[in-house]
This record gives sequence, C-alpha cells and structure tokens, in this order.
Amino acid sequence: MSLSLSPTAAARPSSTAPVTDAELVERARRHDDEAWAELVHRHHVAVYRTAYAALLRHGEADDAAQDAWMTAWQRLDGFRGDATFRTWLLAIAWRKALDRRRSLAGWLRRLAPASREDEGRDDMVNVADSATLDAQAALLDREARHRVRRALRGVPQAQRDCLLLAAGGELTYDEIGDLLDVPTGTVKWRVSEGRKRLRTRLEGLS
Amino acid sequence: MTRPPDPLARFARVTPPRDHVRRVLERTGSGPVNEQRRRPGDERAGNRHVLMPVRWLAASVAGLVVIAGLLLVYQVRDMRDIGLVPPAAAGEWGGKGVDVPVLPPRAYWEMSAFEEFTRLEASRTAATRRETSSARAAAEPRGTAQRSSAEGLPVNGPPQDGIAPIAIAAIDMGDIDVTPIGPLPAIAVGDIDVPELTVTPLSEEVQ
Repeated sequence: MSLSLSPTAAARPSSTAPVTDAELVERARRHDDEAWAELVHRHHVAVYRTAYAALLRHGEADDAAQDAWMTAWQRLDGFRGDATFRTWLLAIAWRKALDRRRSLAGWLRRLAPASREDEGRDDMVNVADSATLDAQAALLDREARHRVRRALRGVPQAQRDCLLLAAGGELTYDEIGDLLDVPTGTVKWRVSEGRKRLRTRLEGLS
Repeated sequence: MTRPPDPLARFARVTPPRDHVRRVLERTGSGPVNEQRRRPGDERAGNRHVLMPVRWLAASVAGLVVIAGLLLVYQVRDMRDIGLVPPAAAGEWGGKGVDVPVLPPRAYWEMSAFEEFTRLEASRTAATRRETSSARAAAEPRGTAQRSSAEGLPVNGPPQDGIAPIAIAAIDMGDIDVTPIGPLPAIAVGDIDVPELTVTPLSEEVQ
C-alpha cells in the first residue's frame, strides 16, 4: 500500500492484519466493530474447540461458544490484561461449557447417546476436510470418528478433558493447566493415561 | 488444509458452522461488518446491555412463585395449628358447648377420651332426634312414617329389589296425662341438735 504525503489526500485506511490482540481489544472497547469482528475471526475456532472438548456435541458447543462470546463482549471493559486475551477468552468458554455440562438439562441430554444427526454434523462442519476426500475416505473418516466417540465414553472425565483439549491443538499444556487449575505435570499425566485408555478401548471396538 | 493423521486429533479439531461468526457478531450488536472502510471510533449501535434471556427470566420467576406458594402454605398451616385461623370444617363440636357438668380434675385422669366421645355423641344424637320428633308431632297428628306403616308401605322409601318390606305396626300415640303435682308438703325447719364439743388438751408425747 503506497504512502501518500499529500495533506489533502484521504486518510490511509486502517488495517487490522498486523495489529495485536491487545490493540484490538482497546479499539473494541471504543466501539470499533471492525476490531471486535477481527477478534472473533481470530479466535472463534479455538473457542468452539474448547467448548466441544467439554461437551462433545456440536449443538451444545455452538451454544456455549455463543454464550462465551457474549460474556466476553459484555465484560470487555473489565479485562485487565493480566493474561492474554486468548487465554481469558478460552477460560470463559471453558466455564460456560462446564456450566452447561453440569446443568440438569445437560445431564438429561447426555443420557441419550449422540444421535447420528449430531455425528452427521461432523461431516457438515468439516466440509473443508471432506471436500478433499473421496466418498469412501469420507465414510471411513466418519466411522473412525464414531468409534473414537464411543471409546471416549470409557475414559474418565478428567483425563478426557485434558486429552481433548490437548488434541484440539489450540492450547499448550501450561495453558490447559491454567484452564483446569491443575499443575502442568498433572495435565501431562492425564493426557498420557487418557491416550492409553483410549487406545485400549479402540482396539476393543475394532 | 492438512488433515491430522491421528483419529483423536481429527475428532477434536472440529470446525465451527459456517454461520457461527455471523451469529456471534449479530448477538454482540456488531452485525455484519461493512466492507467499506470506516474510521475507527465511528458511532455505531452496539448495545452492550444485553438483557437476560427470556427463558431464564421466566424460569426464575416461576421458581420464586413456587417458593412463595410453599411458604404461604406452611404459614397458613402453622397459623391453623396455633388457632389463629379456624379450620375449614368446624365439625359438629366446633363452636358449641358440651353439656357436661364440671368434674374435679381427678375425675378426668382416669377418663377414656374415646369412651367419653362415644357417650357424648350418642347423647347429642338422641337429643337431636327427640327435638325433631317432637317438632314433627306438633306439626302433623300422624307422621309420614305412621301413615306409611299403616298402609303397609315400607318406612324408608320404596322397597328394594329382593328384600321384603318390613311391616311395622302402627304406633298409637295416646294422650299424655300429666298429673299435676299436688302442693308440696311444707318443710318444717327445726333446730339442729349439735352435740357439745369438748376440746381436751393433747397429751404430752412420751419421750
């Protein structure tokens, strides 16, 4: 983009690409909708995956993620910057997902196994992946996800949480420890034990 | 996009729905971002004071109503137990005195409540029937029951199937002769002979 030195030229339009999260947050506090939209675009996948790690259902993860964004937007003025915006945001998303998981309604919903419709949404939301696969590979992929979902039921919840948060690729072990309020070593141990159990269950299911 | 080979990773690395970001921006009041550049700081509608979802408000109000109703029920029950609120059905004994002479407390100690109730109930019922029959006798010389019994009809309504009516002989109500009481004998009040009391000193105790 060329730099105009003429005083009568139009102001150079602002760009959000190289802007850090802290600067975007500051601008969003001043009601800059573009800055807020940029924050949403940057972190919506991480928020969604964090909620999905707790709930394992797309519909509930979507609702929890929406609630997390709403809470973050309402409390944006109270964000002190002690941690990064991403860490703060994912902590909100995790708490929202846990609240939904612990609620009576959520417990009743989880009594019913995940329907094929919910698993079918796996194919819809992962269309970016499926587009590169042929039909057979897509079918195998869907079956593999179904087996993983069934195998995860046999993994203790604490290990399952750490396992899925780590497998989501959005958080480091330290960040997971901060999120769950456990030491990093405990997180690593839970991930290791969770993988062993999952492998055993998958071998039993296959 | 490179697909992770690990099935667990493929399971965990889900992708949000396509309209997820749009709905987030709509809820937070930003709406769809205008493609045209705008200056930062422009005024735009962004209502941060989002009201609580209606369903949670309705659930909270319903819960408060239920709690208030339960508290009211318990409060009324307590008041009724204390006696501030009269019971709905006063019953036969409510508000009416029982014609029982006052007995000394000792007499009540060995009294059976159930026997007393049965006795009082029977006496009250008998008194009610006497009042009813005397009122009917004053209104009609021969009551319905007497007429029915004289004609051979059952006293209590039409005969039931398979049960023969009970023939009740007519009761002739004779005249009641009340002999006036004669003059009472005069009571002569005489002197009462009271023996003279002799008070003797107490003997000293033998130590």
